[in-house]
Amino acid sequence: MASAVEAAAKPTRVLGDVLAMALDAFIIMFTRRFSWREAVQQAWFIARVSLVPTLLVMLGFTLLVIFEVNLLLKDLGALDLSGGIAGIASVQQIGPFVTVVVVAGAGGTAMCADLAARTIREEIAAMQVLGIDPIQRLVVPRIVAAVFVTLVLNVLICAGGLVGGYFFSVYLQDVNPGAYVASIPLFTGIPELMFSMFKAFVFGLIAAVIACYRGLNVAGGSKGVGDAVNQAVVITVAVLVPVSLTISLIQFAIL
Amino acid sequence: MSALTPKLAAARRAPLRALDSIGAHGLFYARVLVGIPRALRRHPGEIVKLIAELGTGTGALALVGGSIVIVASITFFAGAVAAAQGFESSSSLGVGSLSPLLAAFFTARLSTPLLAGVALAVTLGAATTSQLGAMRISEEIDAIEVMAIPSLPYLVTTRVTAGMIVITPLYIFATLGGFLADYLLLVFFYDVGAGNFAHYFFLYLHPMDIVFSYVQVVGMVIVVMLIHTFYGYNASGGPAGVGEAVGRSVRASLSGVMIVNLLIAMAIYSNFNTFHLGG
Repeated sequence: MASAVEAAAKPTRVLGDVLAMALDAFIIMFTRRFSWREAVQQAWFIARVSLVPTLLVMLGFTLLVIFEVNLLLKDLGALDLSGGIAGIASVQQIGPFVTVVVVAGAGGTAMCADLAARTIREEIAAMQVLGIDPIQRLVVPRIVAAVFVTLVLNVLICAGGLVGGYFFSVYLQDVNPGAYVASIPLFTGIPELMFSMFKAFVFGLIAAVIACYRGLNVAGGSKGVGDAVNQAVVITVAVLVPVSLTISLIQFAIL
Repeated sequence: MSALTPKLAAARRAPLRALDSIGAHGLFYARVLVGIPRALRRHPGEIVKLIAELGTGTGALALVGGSIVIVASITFFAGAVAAAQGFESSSSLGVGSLSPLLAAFFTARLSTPLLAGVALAVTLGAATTSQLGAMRISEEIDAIEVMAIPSLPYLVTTRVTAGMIVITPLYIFATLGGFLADYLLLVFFYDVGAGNFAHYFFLYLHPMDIVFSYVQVVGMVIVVMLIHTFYGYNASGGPAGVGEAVGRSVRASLSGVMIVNLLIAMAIYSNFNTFHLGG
């Protein structure tokens, strides 16, 4: 009986731990010295490992959606709206999601592997013995870097999706170029772009917090590091999709 | 000058190294696929065990119901996003009651295969890499070789085969999850009539779309399993190396999955477009 309660309480306790760490990081970010050097290094590192996969995933994801929707629009006789759909697809839904899947899959896994390796080599414990707070020195700069890179990549993906969609629609599916450009603002304006950036911000935050938490709380020796990285990326993706739905519903209710 | 020379030399070798790695990948994949008959003949028990393991996951993932539940919940929420966006956009044109049509189209053709691809890479794929990587660095793979069991068919081919089998139930749950989300969101949240939903949804849900999206998902799972087993089987550099291998494999397989998905979809739908509004 007691063990059943224990098993049921475990996920709750982990969630509490994650939130506690996020809160710690948030407070420390404003009250203690911010390590710029680490943040810049991490941002450069995440951007370097994420850039190429982001572009490839964006191409596959956005172009597939635009290709399929153009088939539908052709049948409806509304091919002029192709640009509007491309705007919805790349700015409102796919942009933030692809960005963060890649930031979590590329940057987050590398971050988690790095922190987990340091934890099992007891470097984190050594830092604590020296009186250095690992959250201030390691977690806060990583969260800031991941959020920053997510925002930058989101802009890149939104623009890249629209431009890629233009060439794909105009040259492969005979959409009128003027109509493509003119229909983009029909569905997507500044408020939608702001929501897209807000989504990217929240997603980047979640991905970074989960990666850091799993990295610092690794257990089980040499097998543990691989498992920790694996769990971090699974949990991130599983959490992101419901969050994406929630933010979209809020956006539709407000706008 | 002397500081520059090694960098120049490294730059000169870079194209060769890229060629090397393409060759290493190709050779590995060929050996894995050639080993399929041997794995089926010699290690059927291992394949059955791996099917159970891939379907339910191990460790903490099994606690929440394993890969099947995770993949289905991801496609569920993705279907809900597609339905919500479809309803909002079509309402702004004044055709909100047609949104079940859009939901059927987007869920069957786009959100389920695309998100299932991402989910497969991060669940089945990353778990395989970390498992094989841990075996490699703790020298279990060398021990298997010493016992005169070829490790590639025994460990890798069995995993790829199990992935190809386990994808069928996984895909069924993923698709059902997506459709269920369409129904729940449109009927209960947006007040589209249930009869209206059923009419338009099934009018434009072509059975071939489901078959094609199954083909897409099977293509993706083969790519995912091959890429992830490669990075796991060739992991090096201790526990940290396994973590890095998981990261690198997720990166490679996400890109690979999306490109494969786009190519399969273009090949299928440019020739057999089953969507005809006029009947």
